[in-house]
Amino acid sequence: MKPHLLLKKKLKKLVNDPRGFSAIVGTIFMVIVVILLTTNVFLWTLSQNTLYNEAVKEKNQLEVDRLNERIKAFDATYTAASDKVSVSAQLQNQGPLSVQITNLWVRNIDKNLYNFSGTLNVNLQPGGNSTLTIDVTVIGSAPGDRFSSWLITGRGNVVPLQEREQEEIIVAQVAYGIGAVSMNFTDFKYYNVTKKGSSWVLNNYPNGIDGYTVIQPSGKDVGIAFQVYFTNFDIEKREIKLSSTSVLWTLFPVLPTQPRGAMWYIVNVNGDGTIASTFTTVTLQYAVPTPVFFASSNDVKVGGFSPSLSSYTGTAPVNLALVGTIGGSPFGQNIPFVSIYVK
Amino acid sequence: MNSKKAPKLLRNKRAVNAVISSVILTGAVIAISFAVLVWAQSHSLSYNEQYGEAIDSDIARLKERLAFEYVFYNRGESNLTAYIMNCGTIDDVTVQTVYVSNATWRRSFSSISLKFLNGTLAQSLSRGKEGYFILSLPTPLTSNAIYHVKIITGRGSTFETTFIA
Repeated sequence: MKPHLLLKKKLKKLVNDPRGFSAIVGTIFMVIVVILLTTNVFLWTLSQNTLYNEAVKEKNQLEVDRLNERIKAFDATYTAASDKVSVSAQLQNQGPLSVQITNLWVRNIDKNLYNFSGTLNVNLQPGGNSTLTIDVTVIGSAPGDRFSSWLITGRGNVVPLQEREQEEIIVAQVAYGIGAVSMNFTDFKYYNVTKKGSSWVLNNYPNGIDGYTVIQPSGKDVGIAFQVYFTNFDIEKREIKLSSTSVLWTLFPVLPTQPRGAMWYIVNVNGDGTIASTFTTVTLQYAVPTPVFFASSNDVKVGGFSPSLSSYTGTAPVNLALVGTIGGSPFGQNIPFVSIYVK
Repeated sequence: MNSKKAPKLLRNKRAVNAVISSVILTGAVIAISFAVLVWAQSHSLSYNEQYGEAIDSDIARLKERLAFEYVFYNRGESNLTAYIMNCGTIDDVTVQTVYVSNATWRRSFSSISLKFLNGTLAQSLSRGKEGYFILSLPTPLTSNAIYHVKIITGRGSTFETTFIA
């Protein structure tokens, strides 16, 4: 018998046999079930694995981004006054990604106090620079305290602020050599002093007039007051207290053999520009520019306030004779300051 | 042709029996097959659900990230304050357990009162949010010694930092 006829005969026999037919149907069903279920489970597992792999890739990318963040925070300075610390620093994004600064933490090293700025929203593009100036309340902090601070970025990195060390050393070394007090030559002012009622007031306070050319007022009950910004750069960061005997004095070279002088003693000025009739010591905190006023013709503590004018005109060198205490010890410093032209 | 065969087939008892038995057997096989299909399907669905949950849980854990902003040890009050930020890509990060330890000492804290930086209570931290918790330590920490703080989140992630007491 030929093979195809044999196969046909066997198939006919199988179809006619009910047991054989049901076995075929059952097998087909089982195969379909197995294929369906396997495919279903396989595809489902594949999709879940894809999701997981994507999450792993996302996590790795976040880690890479976090590691690639490179922010430099330098030239940090701290100015503490009445529980408030002003932090100033330069920021530079040296990494390839934009960075968001979310918070600034400040710690008072001396007193173990700390606080944070609250939510910041400073964004730095790659290669971008920015100046950060923020006031942070750190209750209990006082001028002269030492601070450290750090920034928090949106990716969770901590960036410490590097203090302006080299410049401080130079300033401190200079201060050690010539004295602890430095003056601001760009913010030297004078005011016309007039009497209002029983008070003496500085006119046009606090703007004043540029101090290098002084036009003296004429008339009765008038005077001149000078404003100088002092900064205490004592190397040991001690407080300097100026007493009432501190004076700003000038010499007028009228004749080579007969120099003439004029002087203005230190005074206290209230917030509204009124000169106080009494005197309390003026405190210079470390590294805090402080305005100091010279206006009286005599020591206020001895003879009360009396307005002062120069009896001479022309060019005059200005000197500052400062007397007081530094860290509780006696202090005295004579500083040749600016030159003025008095009309 | 077929119309002639059908009455003949019906009259043939052996032929009718064969058809009936074939139908019954095939029906039984189909019924059992469907039963097996449903059973297997339910089992595979259950497996899918479990696998999906496990994967979702793993993915959520991968997306979690906490950054320590500051850890402050208050020696006077013998407590530890840890400031953290959710810098991950998923919301609802909770703090389940915190461990404070060093080489010879270990203490766990499970009832963590998480707060936002403004002091209000927080159940969890959303993305980008900052918060803190305070731990009361039973014994004072050794001065100038290095300690570890390990946070276990509600999803099971761990984040660790060190501080000097």
